[in-house]
Amino acid sequence: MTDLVAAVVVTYNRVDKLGRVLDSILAQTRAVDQLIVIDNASSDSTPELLASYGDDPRVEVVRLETNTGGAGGFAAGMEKAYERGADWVWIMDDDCYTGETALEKLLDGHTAAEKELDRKVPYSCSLVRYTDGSICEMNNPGTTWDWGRLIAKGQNTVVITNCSFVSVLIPRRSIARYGLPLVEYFIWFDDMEYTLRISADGPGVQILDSVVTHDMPDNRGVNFGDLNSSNAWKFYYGARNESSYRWHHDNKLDWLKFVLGTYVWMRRGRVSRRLQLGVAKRILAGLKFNPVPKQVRSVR
Amino acid sequence: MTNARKLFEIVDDGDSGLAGGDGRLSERELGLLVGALNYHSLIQPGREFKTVVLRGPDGALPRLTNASCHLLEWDSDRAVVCTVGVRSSVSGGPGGASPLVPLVIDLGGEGSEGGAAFYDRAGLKGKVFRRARFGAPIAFDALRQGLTDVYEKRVTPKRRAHRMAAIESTAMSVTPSNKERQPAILFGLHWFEMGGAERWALESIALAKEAGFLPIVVTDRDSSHPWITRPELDGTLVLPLSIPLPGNEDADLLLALLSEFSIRGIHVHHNGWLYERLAWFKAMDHSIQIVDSLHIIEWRTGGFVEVAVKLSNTIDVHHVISPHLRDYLTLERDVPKERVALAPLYGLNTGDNAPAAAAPARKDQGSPFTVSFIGRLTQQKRPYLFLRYAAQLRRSVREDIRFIVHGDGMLADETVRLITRYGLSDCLELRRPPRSVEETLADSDLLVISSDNEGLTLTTFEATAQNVAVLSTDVGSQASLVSAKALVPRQPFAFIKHAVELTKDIMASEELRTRILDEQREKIIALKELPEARAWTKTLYEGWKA
Repeated sequence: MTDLVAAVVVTYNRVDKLGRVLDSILAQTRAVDQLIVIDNASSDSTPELLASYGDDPRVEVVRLETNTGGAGGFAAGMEKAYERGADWVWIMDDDCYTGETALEKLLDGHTAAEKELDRKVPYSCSLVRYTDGSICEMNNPGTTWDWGRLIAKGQNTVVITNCSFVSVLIPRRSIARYGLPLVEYFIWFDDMEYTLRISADGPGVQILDSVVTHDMPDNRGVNFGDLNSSNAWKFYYGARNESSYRWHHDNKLDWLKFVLGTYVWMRRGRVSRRLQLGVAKRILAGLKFNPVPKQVRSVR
Repeated sequence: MTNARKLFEIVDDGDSGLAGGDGRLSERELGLLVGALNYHSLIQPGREFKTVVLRGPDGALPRLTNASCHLLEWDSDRAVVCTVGVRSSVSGGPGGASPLVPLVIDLGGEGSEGGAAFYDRAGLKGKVFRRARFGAPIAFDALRQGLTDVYEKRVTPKRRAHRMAAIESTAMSVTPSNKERQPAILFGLHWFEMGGAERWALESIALAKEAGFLPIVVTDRDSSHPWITRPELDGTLVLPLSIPLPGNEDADLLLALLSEFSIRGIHVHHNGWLYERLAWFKAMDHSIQIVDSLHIIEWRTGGFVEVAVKLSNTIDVHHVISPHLRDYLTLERDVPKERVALAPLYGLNTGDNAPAAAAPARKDQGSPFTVSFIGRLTQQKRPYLFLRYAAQLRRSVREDIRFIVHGDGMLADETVRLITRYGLSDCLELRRPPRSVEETLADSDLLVISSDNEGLTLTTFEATAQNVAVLSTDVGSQASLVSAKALVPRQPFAFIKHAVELTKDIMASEELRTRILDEQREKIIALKELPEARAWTKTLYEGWKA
């Protein structure tokens, strides 16, 4: 029997890009069996746009009552896909345009990697480009010490430690064993925590032949040197979430390195004292903050 | 008179009823005696047996195949009912040995069934255990469920046995000439007692007969086997074993089965003895197809699912009845997907149970809201928890409410006692079989399932067919049937809190009740797109004919 693939897109007030994202998913050479769109309570014309996909039986729109952030949206979508019986869940943001063979290459590359490594691979992700064709600075996965292991065997695939939620293919097995992303994280570091968590039995892979485009306003990575009063809310989530992860699930030395690194970035970026204090408070909050992942139920 | 296959000729009926007509033995006792004599006829082919038949007091377990059959003495509370003479018709003779073999078959007493509950222990420990269990059932259950969580997460995963290596030998058969004989399927059951797994096992035995196979049915648990008289067993070869078998008789029995019959397949339902011998069968004859049917995961011990995983490399296909079990085997335990077949059971001998097209409003708006519990009154179903929930619910609502508890079982006395203790006598009706479940559902607005473990509950299919909303503990594969809104925690205090709140919401909103019912209906329709267990098994057996 053919495996069932469900794509999950989480969207919030990005109606201008969402249609192109969905069209690119529905036009894959290896067709998706389901496309679950999580509308994180958008206040723009997203519902109207999504209504126009009503004729396609593959598309299911779930409108959440409140904005639960990327973490809540991906958790809701992955849970829905799992309950619908998906063997693979392919997740991405609402500004990710997929190359037409992106899914096909992910599936092929994932299978080939498992065969070569002789173990289950917890996830695979695509190469993420910026709109001008260059590498997307924000979505570069971390690599393992033996990142070239599969390249040496003729596969165009890199062994990685973690990645962001921009075109990630997750087998049902990983969700069954490790549950869903942490809804409580709301935004930032939810993808890192999740891909690290599901890699407990071995790292994931990046399939370089599978290509997507991340249509961000600027092609910049993020660091605490960019913190300012308009984006502080997002950095505060990041500080709390990473502190929580490093303290509770990594090791205390890495937590200390994270704290020092954050401080150094903020100093270099000349971040105001008030905002630095705000970050320090969130780092301390992370010591008490330790949410438990929700597990999934088998329905079909 | 039992219609099961006999591997012996009757030399002297001894007024037992074995040869037909009225005799000293009941139908059930005749079934046990035939089963025991079949076993001894296989073990000692061609011999003549002079058999003393004993009956024990109520609750005494039968001893049909163990060492006591060869001891020519018995307990003082056993009565000799008759003495019968039979000769094994199994080929092969006694050689130089005396052809006459004395046997003592103890048929036990009535009502020795159900196995032992976890609180049935001897001595002071048992006394303390029972006092705690029955003195404070909810608090005791809370501790027990907490312990289950610890076992599930920390203990059971560490106790998992190594998986048996795959059998590389492809030997086809030790005795190819046996292929000429009537093809047979070997079935392994726990016992012949009432239960969902047993009902399915008997149905599959009937399917094997329909497909032209001789079913050979082995049980490995002591019981009075009240279902040994079921018509599905007519024409089958029944072997109700009393374990342990003496000396080398395990080996003698296996060899006799393999040499006397053309065994094409083995279907294990719940039978630990047969599970452990599957590898031997596969090694002796690789063409024997092996399948097991799995219903439920036991979190404390692993249960049969754990045994099945351990022996997975010797089993051709695991038949599972729920998506939960399929995912557990394939995703959590890495059993290859192609060796796991999901074919749910719906409506065992109860018709189609097709859900109605649309939910009507409550049956009778004028009558009190009615909440029911339907199921055996056993530890697994936790009727005491339902009663505590009912008491709490009644205290927290202003309108009239009515409860029905429909069932019977080991906890019947406790149930009656708790109805009084919780002050529910004036609003709770206790119904017992043979009163029909349909009648109770027709009177109900909400069915509550308080079990601490389940597979796929048949009552949810039945309830949905009668437009009754279901509120259930979130256990086993209940999520495949019950609305996500109506799944509540297994832990007793959390169960009471959430179930009471949800019931109040349902009572206040017919729209919510309808939404829950609609989701039940959708889930059942989706589930019915999967192959059904009977059709799947029929096709499987047809394939074993070749």
